[in-house]
Amino acid sequence: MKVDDYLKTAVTALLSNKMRSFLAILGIVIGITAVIVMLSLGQGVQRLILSEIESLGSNTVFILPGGPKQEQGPPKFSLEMLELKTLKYEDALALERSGPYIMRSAPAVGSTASLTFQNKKRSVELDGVPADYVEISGDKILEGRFFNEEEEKSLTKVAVIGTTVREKIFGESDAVGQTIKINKIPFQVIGVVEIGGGMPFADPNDAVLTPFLVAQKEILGIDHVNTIIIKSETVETLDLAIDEAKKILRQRHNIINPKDDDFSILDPKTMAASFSFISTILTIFLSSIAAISLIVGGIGIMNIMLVSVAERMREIGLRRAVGATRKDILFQFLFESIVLTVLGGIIGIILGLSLSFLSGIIIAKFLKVNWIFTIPILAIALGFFVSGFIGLVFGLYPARRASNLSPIEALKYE
Amino acid sequence: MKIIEVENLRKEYEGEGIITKALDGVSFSIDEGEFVAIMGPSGSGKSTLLHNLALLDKPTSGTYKFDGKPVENLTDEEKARLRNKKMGFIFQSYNLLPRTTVFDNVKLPLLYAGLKEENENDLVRESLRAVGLENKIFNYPSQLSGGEQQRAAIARALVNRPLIIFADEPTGNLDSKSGQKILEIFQDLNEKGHTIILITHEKYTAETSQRIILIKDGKVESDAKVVNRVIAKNGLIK
Repeated sequence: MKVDDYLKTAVTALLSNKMRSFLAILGIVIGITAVIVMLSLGQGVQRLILSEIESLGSNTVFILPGGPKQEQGPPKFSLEMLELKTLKYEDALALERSGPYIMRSAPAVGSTASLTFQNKKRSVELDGVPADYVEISGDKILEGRFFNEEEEKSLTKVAVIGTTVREKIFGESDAVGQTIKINKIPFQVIGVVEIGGGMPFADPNDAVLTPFLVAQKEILGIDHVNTIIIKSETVETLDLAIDEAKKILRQRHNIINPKDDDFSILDPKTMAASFSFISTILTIFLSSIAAISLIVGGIGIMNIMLVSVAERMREIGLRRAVGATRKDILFQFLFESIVLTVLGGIIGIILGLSLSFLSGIIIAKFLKVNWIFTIPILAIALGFFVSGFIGLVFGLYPARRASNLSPIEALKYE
Repeated sequence: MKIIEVENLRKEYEGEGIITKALDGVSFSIDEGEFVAIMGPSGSGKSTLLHNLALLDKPTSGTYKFDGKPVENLTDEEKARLRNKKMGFIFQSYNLLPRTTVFDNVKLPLLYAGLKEENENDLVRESLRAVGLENKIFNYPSQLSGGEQQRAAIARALVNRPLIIFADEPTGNLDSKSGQKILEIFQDLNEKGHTIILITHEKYTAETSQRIILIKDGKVESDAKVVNRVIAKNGLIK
């Protein structure tokens, strides 16, 4: 029997029982849809994180308190780093005035803080940043101005608010010139800034920026810094700037053996690798859960094919009588189950892509992120072949059962 | 030339410790071009004999030569090929595939013959013409009368130009007029050189053949030429 004859026979058989065929492939459709959505969203999250990291600039490096863990792979960012006190303001100053490769060194502290204005209260991200923060970050001042070095040095209680804080606290009325309270300490709002970057799924504009020393000393009352951001002159000199920073910090902290480092360097490459690794693991994990439904779908196909074989005993007998070999019958039923599952796979791929696209739009709208919809080519190919493979595996038993029937046994079947 | 030669053919079924002899030492031969009716009461073993002759079932013992060659040691695949190339089958209940057109039903044996598409279609048309169904090729079995369905089944049996046609109670489900028409087709085919083996329990139907082998309790009770042959055409006896 020719391949097109097998196909025609399979399609005729499946069309003759449309509702049953549809119900049979439902499991596969759901399974493939789920896998595609998981992979597409996973890739989207990965891209989003990577683009956020890239937006920091590839000549920017973060120095975090605490030594790198003695383990393989990129350093992992953890909340406990915020509690570590090994980096001081003076370290940042020392790096600033060091050698030829570090162009800029800026300390930063961050914490959540309570912001109140009249009877409105909001929990916001508080960041203590240097006066030239906007030059480093590239963020845009929308209203008023940013604080200057003078204000930073004199510990003036001024604040620049993110766009979300502006909208939620002040609405349509003027924000610049108003006095807000951060952890009960009064601050004058001098500007509104649109903050870019930040962690995905967290609104970077739900934040208040104050001069670094004001945040550190007056609000948080701490002596250490959470991060020192250093910038090299060019991307090419980044590694040299890192070496320079390491050398200076080791000198200042009296560290002889690099293994004893009480700071970690987090450069964009390492951050990207670290986030990619985490998101890949997460995507694989979620897709594996989704793939379980494919097995359930496969069992559904097997069940339907067994019913189909039982119903078509006389047809099998007739085909054997007029010259079909066992192999012909085996292939006929295998083709049927493969056509069923591949059809389910194709519908699943289309549904999966549509849902991923829609999810992307929803994520972009509600989380205000620049979501890039990605067509997971690998997932499509995988969906196609996996569905065919499921048809093959779960169709084999019913097909073998059909092909092992003796012609006379099948013909006599009532 | 002998197309079928069976010698001491036996078929036994075993169930719950009891052995039932369906065929008990059957011997005969059939020449090419013969029209033979195998007749007998219900349970006599005539259908079992046909299934064994048509290689759909395997005898317990005995020898069987088809077209001059022994078939005992043929593999399942070789038997399938032999059925496809040299045998045609007609069943009492037509066994047409529902939701498949008359054309595709008739074409079914050719799917396993490995011919070219154009040749296949020509053979199907020729076959349908032979049974007078050339105008119903795109109809579905449910749109045909019983007689027409059996004619479609005959066309299917003829399509691969077989050496021999096995017909198992072909008129059993038909009214007398339609049955008459089917027998007329058989006689016509036989006149054109086809070898036909027909299973029936009706004397009238058997008498349209040239020779009647009477089976009783799995044995050949008699084997004789038909003296007063019924000529199905117009229901006249010649």
